[in-house]
Amino acid sequence: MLSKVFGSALVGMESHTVQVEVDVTRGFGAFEIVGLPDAGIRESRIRVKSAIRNSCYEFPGQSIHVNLSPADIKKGGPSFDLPLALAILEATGQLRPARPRGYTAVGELSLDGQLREIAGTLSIAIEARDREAPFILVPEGNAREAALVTGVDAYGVSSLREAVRFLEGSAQVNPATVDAADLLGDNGTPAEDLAQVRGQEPAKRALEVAAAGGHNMLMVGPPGSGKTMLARRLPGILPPLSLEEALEVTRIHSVAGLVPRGGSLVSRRPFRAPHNSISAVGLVGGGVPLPRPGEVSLAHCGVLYLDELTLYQRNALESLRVPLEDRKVTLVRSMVTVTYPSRFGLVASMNPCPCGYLGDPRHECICSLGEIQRYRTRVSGPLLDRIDIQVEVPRLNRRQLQERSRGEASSLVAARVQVARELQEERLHGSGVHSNAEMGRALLETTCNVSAEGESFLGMAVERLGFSARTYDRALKVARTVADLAGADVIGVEHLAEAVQYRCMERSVFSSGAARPRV
Amino acid sequence: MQDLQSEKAELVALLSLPGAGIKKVGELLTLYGSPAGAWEAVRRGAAAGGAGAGKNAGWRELSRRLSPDELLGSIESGGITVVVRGGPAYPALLGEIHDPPWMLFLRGRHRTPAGATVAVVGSRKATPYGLEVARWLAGGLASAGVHVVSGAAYGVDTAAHKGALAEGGFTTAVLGCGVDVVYPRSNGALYRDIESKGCLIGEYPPGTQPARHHFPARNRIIAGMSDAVVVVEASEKSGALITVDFALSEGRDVMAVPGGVFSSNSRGTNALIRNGAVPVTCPEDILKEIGVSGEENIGSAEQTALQFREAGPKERTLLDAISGGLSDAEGLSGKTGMSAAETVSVLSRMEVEGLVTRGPGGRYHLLATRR
Repeated sequence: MLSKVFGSALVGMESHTVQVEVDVTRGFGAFEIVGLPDAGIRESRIRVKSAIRNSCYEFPGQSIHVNLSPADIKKGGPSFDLPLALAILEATGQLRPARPRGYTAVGELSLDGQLREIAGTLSIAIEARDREAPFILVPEGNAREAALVTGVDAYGVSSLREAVRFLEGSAQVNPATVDAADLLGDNGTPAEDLAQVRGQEPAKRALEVAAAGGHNMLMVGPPGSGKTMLARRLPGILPPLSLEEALEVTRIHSVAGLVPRGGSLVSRRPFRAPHNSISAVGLVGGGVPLPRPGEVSLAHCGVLYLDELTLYQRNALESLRVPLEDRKVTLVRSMVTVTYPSRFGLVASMNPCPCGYLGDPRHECICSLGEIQRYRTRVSGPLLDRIDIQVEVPRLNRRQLQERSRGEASSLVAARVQVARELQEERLHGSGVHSNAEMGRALLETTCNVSAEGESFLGMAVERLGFSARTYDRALKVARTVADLAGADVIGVEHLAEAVQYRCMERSVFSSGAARPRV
Repeated sequence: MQDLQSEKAELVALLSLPGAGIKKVGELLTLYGSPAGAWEAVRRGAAAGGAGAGKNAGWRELSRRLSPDELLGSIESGGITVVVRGGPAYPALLGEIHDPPWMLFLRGRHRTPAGATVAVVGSRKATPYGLEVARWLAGGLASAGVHVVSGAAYGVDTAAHKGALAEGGFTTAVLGCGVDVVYPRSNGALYRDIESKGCLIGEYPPGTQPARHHFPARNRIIAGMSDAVVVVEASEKSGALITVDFALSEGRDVMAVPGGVFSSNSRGTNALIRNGAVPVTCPEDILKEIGVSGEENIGSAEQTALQFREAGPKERTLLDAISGGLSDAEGLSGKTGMSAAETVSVLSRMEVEGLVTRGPGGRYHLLATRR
C-alpha cells in the first residue's frame, strides 16, 4: 500500500516541504530510501524500525520503498524519522488518521519511540504556514518555538505513540501557544551592567558612541585593563530587539540548533565570543553537505567579540571583510547556495605590542620596533579600515581603581543610544540603511552638515595628523554619531574633535605626530 | 675636471663588478694607488677578484665589455650625483677621518655647508619625550643656520629631520642603503621632503638594500661629517652609541640629552653625561658649545609657559594635569572632573593646535613649541 506524509528539508534558513512517499510492497525485507538522502537519513532506517517495534506496532516484513520528493533537493538530518515512521504505519494500516491530511511532521526518533528535538523548527513552521498546511506536528521540546508563527497550529508530541494517537483522534493535544510580544518584553535586568566597571570613562564613552552609531570597535590595551569586561556590556546598551529582529535571530539560532529544549524566542541581543583558534569556516559559516551559519550570523543583531585579535588566523580575519561590508554571507556550494544575514557589531581587543606594556608608564616595554610593527600588521589594513572606532584602554592599578567612581548604569546609557538611533532611523529613512556606520560616501555628503569651524578643524587635523581620505570619511561618520548623541543637527568642532581621537591604530608608533601612510 | 669625471666613472665601474664591495674596492685603490690604476689592473686581469682564478677571468671579461662612462651616465641620469673624495661637494670634515669613503652617492640639493654641522641621533624606538626633544633641538639648530645630519631611521632620526625641515633648515640624511632605496619603507614622504630641501647621501651604490653591517659604517659618516654629535635618547645598546664612539675617536664634540633615570631609553645618554658628555637642555646649549650665536626666535621653556596663558580655562586645567604627570584621557577625565567626551574632545583640539602630542597607549605629552 502507498502512503504520503509531509516532512521538511532545511537549506540554510529556508525550509522546503518534502513529500515522504512510502510503498510497502511484495518482497522480502528490503528498506530503501531514494531522493537524494544523505548518510544521516539512511541511518534513520535503523531508528524507525526499532522505534516502531518498541512502540508496540508491527514493522512490516515486506519490502519498503521510500521516495523523498522533490528529488532534486539534497536532504539531510534526522527530522525525517517521524514522517517516515508515520507513513509506514499508515501504509500498513496501523494508522488511520482522523485529522486532515497535508500536515507537516518533523522529529528525530530514539530507539524506544521517544521524540527528540530538531533544528530549524521555526523555519519549518513558517514554510508550513506559507503552504497553508492544516497543522504541524513537532517534538514537544520544539513546540513553543514553532508556536511563534501565527497562522498555523503547532502540536507538540513526546513519542511516536502519542503522535499516532493524536492523529487518530484518540489523544487530546492542545496546540502550543506563546505570546511573542510578551517574551520580547521580558528582558529581565542585564546581568552585566556598565555601572560595575570602575573608571575607564573614555572607553565607556567610546562604547556608547559605537552602540549609538552601530560602529565597529577595537580596544587596544594591556592585559587586565578590562577590555573583555567592557565588551560584554555592549549588548546591554543597545536598543532592545524588535520582534522582527528577534524572529530573525531565533531562526538563525534554531537552524544552528542553539535554541534550548523548550525554548522559544531569542529575546536578547546575542553576544558571541569565539576562541581565537576558530577557522574561517567557523567564523563565516560553511560545512558539507549543507552550509551551517557561522559566528558572524549567530551574532546577527548582536555583538561578535574577538579577544586578542592578533592571535586569530590570518585567513579567518580576512574572511570577515565580506560579512562586515555586505551584512550577509552567501555560501555557494556545488549543490546549494545559502545566504545568512550577518548584521553584527564587531568588538575586538588586542595588546599594544607583544609584551603588552607599550605606553605603560609603570612598566618598560621590552619589544623591539620590528616586533611591534610585525605584531600590528597581523591586523590587515582593509580590516582595520572597517573598524570605525579604535581606542586605547589603559590599565589601572588598585589605588586608581579605588579612586574612580562607578559610572552610569547601562539603562541610562541605553536611553541616550535609543534616542540617537531614532534620529538616524528618521534621517536615513528610505535609504536602505539604518545606522550611521552603514552610510556610504554619497550618504555621508547629504547627511553630514559640518559647521564652518568644524571644516577648518578637519582640514587642520588631516594635515597635522596625516590622515588619509578614507580616515577622513570614517572620522566624519563617527562625528555624525557623536552629534546625534548630543542631539545636534549640525556637526560641530567638538564632535569632530572627539571622533578624530578614535583612530589610534592609524597613528605611527614611533614618529612624531604624523601618521603612518596607509596603502 | 675631465680627470674628476673619469675618476668617478672608474670608481662606479669598480663597484659594479660582482663581489666588489666597498671594502674590496678600497683594497684595490690602496694597492694600485688610483681609480685609473685599479681599473687598468682589472682590465689586464691582474686584480684579484676574491677567491679563485675563475673570478679574475670573469672580471677581466666583464671590464672589457663595460664602459665606465656609460655606467656613470646612467646613474647620473637617475638624479643621483656621484661625489668623489676631494671633489667640490664632498663634506670637508668627512675627508679628515681615519677611513673616509672614496666616494658618496647623493640625491637632492648639494651645497657645501658653510656653517657648522651637528648630528642629532638616537633611538629608533624613542619615547614621545625623545621625539619631541629631537624635533625641538633640530628646529632650533636649523633656525640658527646649523646643518642638521641624521640617519633617516624611525624615531629620533625622523623627528630630527622633520624638525630641521619645519624651520626651513638644510638637513642631510645619511643612509645605510642605496640613495634610491626607501628604508624604512614608510618614510617615503620624508625622503621626498629631504630631497627637495636638503640631501640624501650614502656610500652604497644605487639599488643596494639595507644590511645590518651597513649601519655602523653609515654611523661613521654621520659622525665624520659633523662638528658635534647630540644623542637624544639611547638605551645601553643603541646604535647611536656607535656614532658616539666614532665621534670620540675623531675628536668631535659629544653631547647628550638627559632623561629619566628609570627610562631604559635614557640609560645610554645618562651614562654619556656621567662619562663627561655635555648635557643638553635646549638648542642654545649646543650652539654655545660649537660657538654659533643663536637667533632670538628659538623655542625655549619660557615660550611653553606663554602658551599656558594663551590657552582657555579647560585647556589650562588639562595642561596643568599633564605637566603634573597624568597623561591618558582616563586619568585626565578622572582628575579634572570633566566628562570623558569633553576631555577627549578638548585634548583633540589641543593636539591639532599643536599644544600636546599623543603617544603610544593614548598618552598625551606637552610639546615644547607650537608647530
